[in-house]
Amino acid sequence: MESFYNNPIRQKINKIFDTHLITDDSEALYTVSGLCSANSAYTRRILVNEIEKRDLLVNKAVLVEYNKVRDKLQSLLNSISSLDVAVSDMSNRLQESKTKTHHIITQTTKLKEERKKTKKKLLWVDAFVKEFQIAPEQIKILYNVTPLTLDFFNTLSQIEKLYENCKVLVKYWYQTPAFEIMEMIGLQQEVAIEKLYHWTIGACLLVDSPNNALVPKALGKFENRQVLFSNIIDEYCNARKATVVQLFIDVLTKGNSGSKPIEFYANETTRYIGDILAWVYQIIPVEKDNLCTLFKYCTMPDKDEKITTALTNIMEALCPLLKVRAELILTPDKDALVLWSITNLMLYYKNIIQSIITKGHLIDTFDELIKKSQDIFLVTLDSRVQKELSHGVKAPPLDLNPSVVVTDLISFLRDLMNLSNNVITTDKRIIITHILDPLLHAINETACHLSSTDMSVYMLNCIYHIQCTLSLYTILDEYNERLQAQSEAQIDTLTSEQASFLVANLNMGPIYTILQEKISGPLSAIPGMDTSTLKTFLNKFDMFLVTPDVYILPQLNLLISHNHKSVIKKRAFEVIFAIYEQLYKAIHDPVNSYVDPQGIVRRTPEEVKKFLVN
Amino acid sequence: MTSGPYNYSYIFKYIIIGDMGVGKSCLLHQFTEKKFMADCPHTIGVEFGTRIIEVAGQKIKLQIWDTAGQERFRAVTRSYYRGAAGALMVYDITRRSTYNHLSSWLTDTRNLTNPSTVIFLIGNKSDLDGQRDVTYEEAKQFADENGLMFVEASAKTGQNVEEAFLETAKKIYQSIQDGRLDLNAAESGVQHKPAAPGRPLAAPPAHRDNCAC
Repeated sequence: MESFYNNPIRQKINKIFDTHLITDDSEALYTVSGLCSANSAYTRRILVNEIEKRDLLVNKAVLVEYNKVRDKLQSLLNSISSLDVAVSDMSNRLQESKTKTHHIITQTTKLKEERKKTKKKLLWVDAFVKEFQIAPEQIKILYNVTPLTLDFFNTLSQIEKLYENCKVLVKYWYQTPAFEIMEMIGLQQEVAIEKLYHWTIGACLLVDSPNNALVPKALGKFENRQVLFSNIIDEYCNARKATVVQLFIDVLTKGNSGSKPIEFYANETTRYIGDILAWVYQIIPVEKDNLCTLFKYCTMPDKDEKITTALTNIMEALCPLLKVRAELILTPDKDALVLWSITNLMLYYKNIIQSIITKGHLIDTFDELIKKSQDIFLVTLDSRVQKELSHGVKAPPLDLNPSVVVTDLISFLRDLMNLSNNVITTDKRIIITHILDPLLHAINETACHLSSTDMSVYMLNCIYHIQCTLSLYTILDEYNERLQAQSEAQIDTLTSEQASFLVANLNMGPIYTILQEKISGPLSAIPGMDTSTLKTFLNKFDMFLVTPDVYILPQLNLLISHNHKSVIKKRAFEVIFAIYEQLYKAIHDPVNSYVDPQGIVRRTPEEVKKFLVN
Repeated sequence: MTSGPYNYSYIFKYIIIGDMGVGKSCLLHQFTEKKFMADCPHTIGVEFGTRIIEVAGQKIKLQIWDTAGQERFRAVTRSYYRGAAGALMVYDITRRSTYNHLSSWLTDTRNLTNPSTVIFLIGNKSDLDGQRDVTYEEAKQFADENGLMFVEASAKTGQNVEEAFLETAKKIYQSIQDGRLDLNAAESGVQHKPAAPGRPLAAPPAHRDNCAC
């Protein structure tokens, strides 16, 4: 066993194997096995030799290769050492830059600090600029008014605020900059205001200026510049005047499918004038409304006054148009009632317009037209009354009722009164002096041709007819009283006529005369007062008591007023009763020595009174 | 363009008519002031009120003429129908007589206004339902027969007041849109305020032959 291990070949082979250079043992072994075809000592030696040679060769080859490796290692070493040099150089440089960096950091911190401060300063400056200067874009807005926008007003307001700010500035420390700023702002403001002024004037001239929301804003800016302000208002008024006149002419002359132009109705006088006046009146609140919008941003104390003045001014434009048209209508050939209703319409509109526009050209025009219309009305009225009454002096109708002239005039009067919305003192004067007085005069003239009774009845009837109408209008109460007095006088006349008629028909005349006379001696002795005469009389009187109406004046039945008739009757009967009472007393008086006074006058005054005066 | 520099795009003229004491002035006051006027005096002639409303995004200024109901003013008030785009015809639901007169008011309105005038019937005092003298159905039938818009309202509580005025405006606005109402006609009661450029609704200019008599 031992020898087996000591075998030199084995040792060689093992040595080869142990070198680890040959990795594939099998191939090596295969090669080795091929070397010996016969196991002999010689072979073995050759083999050993051979193996040794090969071993040597191999070792040599290994050596060569190792040398190569060594060379490579050497160059690697060189590289590494140069690397080391470079690295150490770098490290040096790094050190150097570290120092530098530190310096930079310190500087940066310092700068940062400064920057902070500067920022703060900038903030302050910005704030200052903002408070005391306007931005360039704002200036652009300020100088550019076409088209004008709300921004303009905001900027303008800001300028105003800046100005106020400057004042504060002046009050405290910074006078010089403040004055400089103020000067600059002032200039900007002036330019802006001037531009705005021209814009506003231009805007006012447009037809739709009342609808432009910017105009009132603009006007508000001129509140403290009186001249410019009043110029703008004047321009506005002038433009509105033109518009209003155009509208008026349009409504007068142009129509559409629905409603015809006002002038279409020019022949319906009252409607024509009514429509014109209504239109004029309707434009007032509209224009006033526009003006109130225009003055919306103004705060002046006399704002309302200014609005009214402007309104008065605008409305003046309509005066000539109104006047020309009204004057064409106001001619004496028109019916008095029409003229009267026109007068009343104008009075009505003048009054309601005056509550808005107290004075001015429009009111003057109204006054003028009313005066003219009244004058022409009076002319027509007089001529109409005159014409009517010229027939009136003729004889009255047989029934003594008011003649047609009277009823006509009174119904005309009623029409007049019903036309006026509220009768005023002037109307009353006109009615009295131009209608009632001439009418009464005419009635009197007619009546004076009649007998006394007829006259009274006719007068009473006429007065009664007039009174019936006048009583509807309280304004004429005073005149009604006058008529009442006149009718009382006529009633008195008729009463005495009626009483006389009764006395005559009852043959009371002689008895009454005797009773009135103061005669000495008994009455029974006087002829006409003797018992038999008295008995005859009293029989007749008894008949009368039963049918008192037999001896009523026929004319009394012609009285229109039943009341008048009964009053006259009652008063006349009272007279008769008084005579009867006197007679009764006289008969019963023993001085008059009547035999059987009871037999002569059977009825006591009380009984008679019951019959006559219920 | 939002609202533009203009306050409104149109002006509509309204009249309020009806018997005395039906509450015409109170309706107007309720609409313009949103308040009820308890002791309203009789109107003398006519009164005036305005308010700006919005219809379909358009601002419309209403010019409202409140007429006197008293018969003695009839001659004066007739002149105010001219050029009205809307007529509010009012009766009192507690007084039948005011309802019975409607046909005469309607005749006046038809004679004195445009065919395109919107007539709106209002039965006022709907708060006094206990004293009702005219039923809703009856009035509604009357309105339908005559082609009127109709609502019962109360100037006291404000119920339906706003609606009546607004519905009328909507109807008028619709007429303009449909071209039934001529904006350029001075008498239509609608004035179109020139709108900013680019605004819709530029009504075609009407060719009107100026046959002014």
